[in-house]
Amino acid sequence: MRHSSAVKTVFHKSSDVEIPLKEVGRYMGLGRSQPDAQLVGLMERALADFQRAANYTACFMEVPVSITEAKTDFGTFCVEGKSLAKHLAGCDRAILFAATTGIETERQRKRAFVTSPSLALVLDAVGTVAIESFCDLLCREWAEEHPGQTFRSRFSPGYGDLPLNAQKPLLDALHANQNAGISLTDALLMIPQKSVSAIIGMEQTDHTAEKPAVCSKRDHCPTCGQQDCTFRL
Amino acid sequence: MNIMECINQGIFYLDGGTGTYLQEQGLAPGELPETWNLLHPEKIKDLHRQYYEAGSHLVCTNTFGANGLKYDGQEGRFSVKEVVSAAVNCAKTAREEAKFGQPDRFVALDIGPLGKLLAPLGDLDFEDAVSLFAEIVQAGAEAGADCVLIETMNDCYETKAAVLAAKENCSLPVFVSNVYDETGKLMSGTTPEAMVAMLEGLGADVIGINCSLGPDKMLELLPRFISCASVPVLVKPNAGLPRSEGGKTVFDVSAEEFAQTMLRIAAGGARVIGGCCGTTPAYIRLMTDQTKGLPVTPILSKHRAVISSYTHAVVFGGKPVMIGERINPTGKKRFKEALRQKDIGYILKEGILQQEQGAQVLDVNVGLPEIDEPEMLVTCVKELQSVCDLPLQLDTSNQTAMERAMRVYNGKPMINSVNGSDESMSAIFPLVKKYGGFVVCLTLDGSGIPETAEGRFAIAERIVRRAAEYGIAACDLIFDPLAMTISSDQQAAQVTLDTIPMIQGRLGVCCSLGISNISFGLPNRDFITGTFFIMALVKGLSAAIMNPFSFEMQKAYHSYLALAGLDDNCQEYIRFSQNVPSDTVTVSKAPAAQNSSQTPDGLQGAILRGFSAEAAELAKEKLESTEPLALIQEQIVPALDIVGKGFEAKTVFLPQLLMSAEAAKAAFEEVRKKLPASDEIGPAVILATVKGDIHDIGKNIVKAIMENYGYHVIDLGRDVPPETIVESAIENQVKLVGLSALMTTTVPAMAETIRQLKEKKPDTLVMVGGAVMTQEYADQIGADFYGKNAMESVRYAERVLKGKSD
Repeated sequence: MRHSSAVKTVFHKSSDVEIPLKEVGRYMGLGRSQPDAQLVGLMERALADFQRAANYTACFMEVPVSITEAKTDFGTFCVEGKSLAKHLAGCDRAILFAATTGIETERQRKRAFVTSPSLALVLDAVGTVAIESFCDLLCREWAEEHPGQTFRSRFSPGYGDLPLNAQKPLLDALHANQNAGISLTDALLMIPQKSVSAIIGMEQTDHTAEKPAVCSKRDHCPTCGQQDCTFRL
Repeated sequence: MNIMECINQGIFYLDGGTGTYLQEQGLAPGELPETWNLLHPEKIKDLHRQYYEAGSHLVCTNTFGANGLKYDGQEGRFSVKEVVSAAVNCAKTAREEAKFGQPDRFVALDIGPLGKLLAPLGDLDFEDAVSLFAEIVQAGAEAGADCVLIETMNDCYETKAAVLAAKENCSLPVFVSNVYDETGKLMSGTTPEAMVAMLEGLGADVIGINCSLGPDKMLELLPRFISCASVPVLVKPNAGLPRSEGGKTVFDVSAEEFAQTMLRIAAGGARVIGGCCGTTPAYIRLMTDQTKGLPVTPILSKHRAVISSYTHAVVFGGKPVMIGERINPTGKKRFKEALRQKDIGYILKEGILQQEQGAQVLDVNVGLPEIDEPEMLVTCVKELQSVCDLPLQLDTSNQTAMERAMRVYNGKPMINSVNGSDESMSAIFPLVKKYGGFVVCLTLDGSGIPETAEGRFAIAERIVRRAAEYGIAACDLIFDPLAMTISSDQQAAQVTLDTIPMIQGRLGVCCSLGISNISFGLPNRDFITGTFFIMALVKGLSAAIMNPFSFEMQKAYHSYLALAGLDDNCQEYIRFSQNVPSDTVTVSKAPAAQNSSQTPDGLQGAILRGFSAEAAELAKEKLESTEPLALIQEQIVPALDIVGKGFEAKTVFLPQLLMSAEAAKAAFEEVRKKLPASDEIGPAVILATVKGDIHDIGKNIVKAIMENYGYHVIDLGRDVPPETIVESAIENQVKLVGLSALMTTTVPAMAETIRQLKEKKPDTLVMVGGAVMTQEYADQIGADFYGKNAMESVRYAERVLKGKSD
């Protein structure tokens, strides 16, 4: 027996989740350089291995949002923080979700470090791209189910002044351990590592709009202050 | 009548959901439901009473999340003992109020998951999990629960911790129910067959499935439980899937539909039935009405000879099982060295490579006189189980090591071994009774190995009888009729071969052989071993402990399977024969990379291009004529330098740097074979990801590169407390410690580690790195060096430990 409100769980096949090799290269630290044939081979192998092991699972719930100054109340829990309040200003509802590529991808990366660190490195990059791509896919689906609403970009604990310890009430509300197999360490990190938890604000915009509106993940590079970042484009 | 007698008589009813009812009664979002046992006991009692009246034989206490992580008794919060005893009292009072004087109404102490993942993938220690569960069990048993119901568990390992806690802290029957997804697996990847194997081994009284799925999906999964479980099977579905309707959560399966499917589930063999999320007393009433008086068939033992890992079961007696023998230091210099240096990575690699060669079980023997074997075996079992999903065969003659390894093993292990002596049986059988296990029984005793088949059979018979006295069924034993070398006695093989059918035929049990012994002392041993293997298989051998890297053994195994009709369409044979010769490493000698026209040929070229197999081959060839140390200095190091400089000049990227590192390592392995074991290759360096951080990718990269430069890397892993790092630095006389952190939140742990190191071992240098690290941060926390990438770390080590300039 678990005490669940209407948290839903969704699964996706690996074939639903696109993993562009170009993005993988970026997370491998290739910058704009082209990988040679040998490296492409390794990337393709890692990608195929990863997709075989992945078990794309997410759980989510739709909640009301009420904001008073720097406090945001989702009905099931409250969080403090100006950045989130600002990010959600104008939204009356939000989707809370947690998504993961599954525990086997965790074991797989660990296994690769034993046999081939280079494969492990590539698997790690594939995993980073995969979980983001999975989240994008979920957002597109949710947007389609909510015509006339604009979706704000995903906001996660640890962004801005939203403390990392907001992970706990968020994942608890989602029963993420039971529903998606995501658990938190004492230091508030998610396991499996390739997991995302986030809040997506929904704003009532235009009921007549035919196409769902999604704010996709913005490319932060031009605005980011970390000039020497390996992944900077 | 006790609870198990009641279950044996007919369909036994559980209760239904609690969450929906509590929400209707005003449980606020985020409020802990178990507090109501003390704050609103009348509401909890009322729900229990309704379930008893609806026909539930067994009502579960409102203690699903009542663990010490949430109820610590601090700062005004309730303690586990308070909420649990209040909960049991609520259920007992409800039973009285429901006016059920009959003796067939019971109270189950309900135990749910802790919500944390166990180590090594998570950060909750196995024994800490056992203690948390033990606290609940003690409180519940003391308050008078009739049984323990461990439910909604989605992780195999956590389930084991809970069952052990229940068994160690009360004598009540233990029911265990897990959450399976639509593909029939737990979140940890475990199948019903594997769960049943482990849970029956641990002595669970009822085993089953609850939550997540609706009744239809559970009906589909049910036959898998019925066909392998020797205990009653429990089924407790949700009322379908939840959805929100006007701010309320509703479920899509009605009470009528639910009851109808539950009738089919009961008819399909489930003996213990109830409801989970979304079900109410109305559901349970209809279910009991529908299924009342349904005839039941007795639950029989399935006599399965089975072991399991955290993902799957391996059954003996059908297709012969290949048990890999390579994790064993006997006669292996390099393996012994790895054990002494606690080089777990080397041992894990032996395991993974054997799996790639088709081993279905791994024998794990890490005994060396000079090491702490219990500690090493426990570490190896845990670490192997975090990277390899094969069941393990625990191989030790050290009683403490065996018990500790059986305890932490995730699944039902194979035990190697017991023999016919009293001493051996009285040491091992109690452990098997407690933890579960499938035991290799050697047909020898205190007076040695009988020379005849009859003599060995007599010992086997005695072992079966003795095991029965401990309550261990014959199907949990597998007999080794002992292969002795034919080089000293030419009749040795025949005696062994005669013993197999005798034991199997008369005792109805399986046989296994440590097969390699047969050829000891002969040249080209694999010819003899492989042929003997086939002869034993023909006699009915069920398993062999063997070398999966031996081509002759693989040939024998696959040919036999095809000839014995155990290989559909000869598919496995075809796959095997197309990959001849089966080499242990299969890195293709792909055409050289685009820009490699200037790369030199030979060993250096292989390292530059990152071809591991080729590098190992070439190193082997060169070592025929070159001194080992010269090969390192003249070929390997220069190649690494070229790659390292390329990386620094940004013409070589990190993955390529690592590929070259792997190729160099493969060459190093060949060199090591020529070096005396005592030769330390280079200075020791400690690497660790600091406490609180689980990201180890950066640390692992630095490790791979540093090993190449000849450092003896002591890898302490991730989430490492400062004290552990200090202890290791002192114990190993280490001059340089490398610390990694990815998260800003874990930088304080890094600072603390440095503080302790500088205090307790002031001559230690500390280099730091990781995504959040900057020179400024590094200075603030008192690090001696900030390495922006793996090469910078190596360069620093070269400077301070080897006095080299850049």
